[in-house]
Amino acid sequence: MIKIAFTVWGDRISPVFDCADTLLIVEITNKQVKNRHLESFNSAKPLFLIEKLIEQEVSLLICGAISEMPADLIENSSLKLIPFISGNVDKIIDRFRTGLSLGKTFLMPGCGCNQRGCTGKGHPVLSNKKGNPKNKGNPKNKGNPNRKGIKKQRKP
Amino acid sequence: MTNITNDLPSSTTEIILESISDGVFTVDKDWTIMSFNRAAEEITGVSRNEAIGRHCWEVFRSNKCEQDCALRRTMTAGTSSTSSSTYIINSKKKRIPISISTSLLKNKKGDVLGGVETFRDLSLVEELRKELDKRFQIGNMMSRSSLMEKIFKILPRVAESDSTVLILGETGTGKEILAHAIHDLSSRKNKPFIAINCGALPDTLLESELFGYKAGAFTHAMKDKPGDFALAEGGTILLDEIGDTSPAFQTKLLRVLEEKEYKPLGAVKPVQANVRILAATNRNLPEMVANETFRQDLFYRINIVQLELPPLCKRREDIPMLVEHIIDRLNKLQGKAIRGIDPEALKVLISYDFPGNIRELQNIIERSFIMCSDKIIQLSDLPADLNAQPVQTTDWHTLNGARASSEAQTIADALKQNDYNRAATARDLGVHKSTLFRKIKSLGINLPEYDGRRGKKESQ
Repeated sequence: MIKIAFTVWGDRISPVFDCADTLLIVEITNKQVKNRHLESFNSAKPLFLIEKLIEQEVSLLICGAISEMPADLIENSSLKLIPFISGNVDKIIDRFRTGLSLGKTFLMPGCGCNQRGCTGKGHPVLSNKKGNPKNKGNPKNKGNPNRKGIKKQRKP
Repeated sequence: MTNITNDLPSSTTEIILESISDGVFTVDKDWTIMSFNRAAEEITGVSRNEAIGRHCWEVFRSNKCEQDCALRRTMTAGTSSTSSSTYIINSKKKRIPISISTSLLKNKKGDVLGGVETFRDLSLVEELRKELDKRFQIGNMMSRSSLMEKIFKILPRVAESDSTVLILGETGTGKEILAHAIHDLSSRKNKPFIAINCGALPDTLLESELFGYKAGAFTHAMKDKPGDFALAEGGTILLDEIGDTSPAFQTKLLRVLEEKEYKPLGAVKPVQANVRILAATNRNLPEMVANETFRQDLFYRINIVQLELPPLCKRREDIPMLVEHIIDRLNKLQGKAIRGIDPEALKVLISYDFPGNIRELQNIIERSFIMCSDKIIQLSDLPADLNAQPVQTTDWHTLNGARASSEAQTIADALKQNDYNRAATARDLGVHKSTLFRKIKSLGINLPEYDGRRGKKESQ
């Protein structure tokens, strides 16, 4: 069983967590959506949200763009956060229900791994797992000029 | 005359859009992004290739997208909107403050194709605003004034040493608060701080207050009484209004400063004093020394470090902050919920000269609290004589106002340093002489009739 919370705006993921006010909480058991309900929440008080979700045994929060402060609070809790997601919420639920990863399709533009500052050490959105160590050996990283720089500095 | 527009290539609009620093994007009626300029790429951190074809809220990610979209309002009402402030969140989770303007996108026939959103990055403005909001604060003293900043900067060093400090300043400028701040910053902070107003007591009483007395020293002296020096042992003592003491008392004080010991009234042996002495006055001590009404040796003894508190009229930029602070304090003390002061009333306060300085400001606000029947202190709540004052137009709340104040202060300081020699001042400030003259005129800085250059020539 997995319980996932989505910040929603109609049938879509809310574009900005910081001003979202509706949560959709979905319970998936044996590839079936067993329960889903909407709840209102105050995004200005992320700690209350964290408590509320943990109380309801939610383990994953999926939202749109989110600023540093609430993101840090959520990431430091037992909740897993998948931010910068957009698109139809039912399609995303379907992905989770069938055990598929979200892929780049649902990622907001400008948030892909080719962005400056991205370490390439496995994007949680792409893998559905927090800090997937398998992705550390991502062949894409081999072309990273920074990595080449590090190699050059190594002693012979 | 040649029609210039005919000569322009069809891509002119595109070139202009690419060259401006404001972000611009267009959407169709389904909110899909159709165009996205270079500045929009820079501000949002989303490349044009990624943005085009996506819904605007996925790319723009503003806090207004969901509930209060400016573009939606424009598309619904058919009217443009200008400059509403908001923020967007970039892919690095940073909030970027922006201002937005929107309008309809129409073809040549006038049919609505969609909408245009123009946005400006206000990060720099916000940073400046934050910088402006920064206040220098030490203990209970706070200020934005450059004059006070100078004091605050050296205060920790002054506090570290055990030297006598002479605090100068008009009445009500906060000399005792500054003395307390020095004590709080010093290694003596856990020991007592005692302030005594030397001007308020006659010599004999002042002496017994400061040095104490022994039983039998005078009639009714039934038992020993420790003086302020004994009570402040290990701590700090502030001798306020030191300029108002008699020459006889000054002699006794000099002994304490030089020998680090004093004799209580009726005592046979002197007592060692481990007390840091701070002195304060609103009098002109050098002039008193010249008139022989203040001992020269005592003046040199107390004038090791001198701190001069500026009068409130020289730090007008602090008035809004001080008013806010006093209102907060009075709300807590009186259990009221006054939210603030009307801008017009504040302007009157800023224009007033405050001969009684901060103490007078405090009294005015306290009086306004009694008169105020609303949540905001109004012009009518201020004393009537204050309302009769001419009002200055400078608004210290605004960036321009604060900058003008700061500029005026810097120029005035530089002029003083250079003995009002305009050319030397301009050199010091790194501006051209004509710029300095223009600034002096526009900022209304009063100059003496002589300048340093002419003065020198005359004296030669």
